[in-house]
Amino acid sequence: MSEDILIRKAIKTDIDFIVESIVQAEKGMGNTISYCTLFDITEKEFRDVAGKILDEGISNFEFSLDSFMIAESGGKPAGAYGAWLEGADGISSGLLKMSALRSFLKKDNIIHYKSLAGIANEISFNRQAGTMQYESIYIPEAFRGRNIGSMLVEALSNNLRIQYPRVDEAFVQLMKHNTVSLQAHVKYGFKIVDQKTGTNTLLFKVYSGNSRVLMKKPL
Amino acid sequence: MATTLEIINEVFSNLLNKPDLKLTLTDSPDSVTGWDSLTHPELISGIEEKLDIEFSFKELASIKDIAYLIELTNSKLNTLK
Repeated sequence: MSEDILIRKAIKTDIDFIVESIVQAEKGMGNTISYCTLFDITEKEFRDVAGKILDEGISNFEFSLDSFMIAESGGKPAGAYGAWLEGADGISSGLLKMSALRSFLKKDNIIHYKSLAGIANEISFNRQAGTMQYESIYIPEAFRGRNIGSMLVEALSNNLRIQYPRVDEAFVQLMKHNTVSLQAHVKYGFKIVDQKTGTNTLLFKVYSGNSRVLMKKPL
Repeated sequence: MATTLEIINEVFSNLLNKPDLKLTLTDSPDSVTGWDSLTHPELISGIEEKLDIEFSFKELASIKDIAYLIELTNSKLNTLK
């Protein structure tokens, strides 16, 4: 049932849908956007900032327009997924993300983040340079069950394999309570290789959960 | 008059609490303990405030080591002259 699905690279007119994808992927099976709690901003503020960062066109991190593939059906977006090569230009995605957020948020938001970063780090995994990193999958409910997730994962892998033939590992980090996404990634060929569970109760406020898994897939 | 490297070294030294820090052109977040995604915004703000300049996100996205940071800082200072 995937004959009417087109998979293509994201373009600027997809930014609103990509922002929606990042928001929905962040919410997972809860209703929390970690960026909002960590930086003390509203969902609307986050959407505005995410759109501005995507519009900057910087590659190889979570808010890179060119890291996203879009699934389209009948001219409508039917899914999105992003992936990049960690450290491709000699700069980590973490540094790029913080450079972006500091450029578009207020100083107080960065100070707020710093106060909570230690808690967030309890369940964070370092992204290893030279590996492929998947982030922010979203398929609207009306398009689920049509194999779109697998198609996006495959298209992203193929795209990066052409650019970086030596890359042989892909990773994704998921909150453990997001069982729908976790099971979907098992179907896409990922396996859990590590898990971190934090003890600070504030983790439930920041992420709607306190366990994160690291999943790996050979390319 | 202090060089750009000396000014950046002073900012890093103060904010990372490393009085003996001696940055070199090839230093990067990989080689300087404490220079990470958490401290990066502060370090950049420290340089901006010290020299009364402002970096855009696009400019920051090119900083992979101290040499790049010096080059970018100098280009900002030159446009002020």
